Amino acid sequence: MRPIQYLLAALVLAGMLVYFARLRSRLADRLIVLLLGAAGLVLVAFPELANRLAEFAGVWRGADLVVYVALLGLAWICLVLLSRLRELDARLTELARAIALLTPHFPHRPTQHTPEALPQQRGGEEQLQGSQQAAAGHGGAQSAS
Amino acid sequence: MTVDPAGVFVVVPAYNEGPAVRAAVEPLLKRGYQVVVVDDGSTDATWQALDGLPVYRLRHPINLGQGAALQTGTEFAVRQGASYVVHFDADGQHQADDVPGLLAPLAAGAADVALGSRFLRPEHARMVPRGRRWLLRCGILFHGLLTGLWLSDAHNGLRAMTRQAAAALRLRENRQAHASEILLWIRRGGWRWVESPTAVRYHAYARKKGQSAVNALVIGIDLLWRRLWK
Repeated sequence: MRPIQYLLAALVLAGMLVYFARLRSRLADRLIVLLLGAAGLVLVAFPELANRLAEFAGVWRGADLVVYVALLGLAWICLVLLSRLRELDARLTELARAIALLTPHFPHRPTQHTPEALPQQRGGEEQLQGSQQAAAGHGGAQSAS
Repeated sequence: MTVDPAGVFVVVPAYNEGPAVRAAVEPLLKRGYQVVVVDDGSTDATWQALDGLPVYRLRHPINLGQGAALQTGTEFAVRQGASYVVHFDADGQHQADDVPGLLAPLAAGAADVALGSRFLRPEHARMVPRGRRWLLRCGILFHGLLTGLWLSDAHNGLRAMTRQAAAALRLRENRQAHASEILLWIRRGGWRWVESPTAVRYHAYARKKGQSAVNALVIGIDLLWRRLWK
């Protein structure tokens, strides 16, 4: 084996080690990482295999094939991560909104349009309780019809 | 048909609008409207600036963006039994005197959503700086192509809607692109819309806080990105 093969194999193993040691993940993700790591090690150990696969796929060299596949894989990972980010963002928004809706402030006695939504005035600033706000969700809808 | 102002909930999203928000909501209170200020995680004294005023105050624990604040305020207004929901900027650009004009077609049953426009009256259009006018024309074209709604104005934050429309609103664009998202929502939901003349004051504070050409580009990218993912 050539020095570069040792280096590549060490990098693949180190990557897998970090993944399993640091990132808690789903079983399916772990299987994918195991398979990818194993494939990487096999290709490092037997470069001829990559060349044969490349020839079969109509690509000049095995290294080119690996680069093409890796680029596609990276693009796919980016898209998955971006969609997860948007999903996370939407959930964060929902959470922040729920907190805001549970803790409204109103300093004065409610009007006829806020029948059971607000507590009796005790003077000064009041914070509405979550349960009262939840009741307002139903009462309010009825009062407007 | 007259509108009972106590049933009109004006939602005012505010992010670091401490110096302006009080002056922006006072004229609304004078007209008897219910005011819902959504403090979008401000780091200045926006919250305290409203002390003593009879306004509902809600606060996002973190800054989410104007679209998210409008959605929060709209949901709150609907829960409180609003007959009409109005969206109104906190920086003092919008005029409380324009709100009755927005509500009139809704009360008459002629429309579900009324959108403010700076370009229906020449005296309002003249108030828009020249550079801004070109930017808005591009926005109008962009919206027309994207949504099929050909309006006379773009990204005018002043709008009013009936309770039914407000209850159906689900803004997912947390940031500025919500204005375009609302147009898409109008078209897809088949809501009847109308434009109503509104004046926008471009005073120094509002210009400092307002949208730049770079923001317009960001909004466009946000929208295209959203379409890509749908």
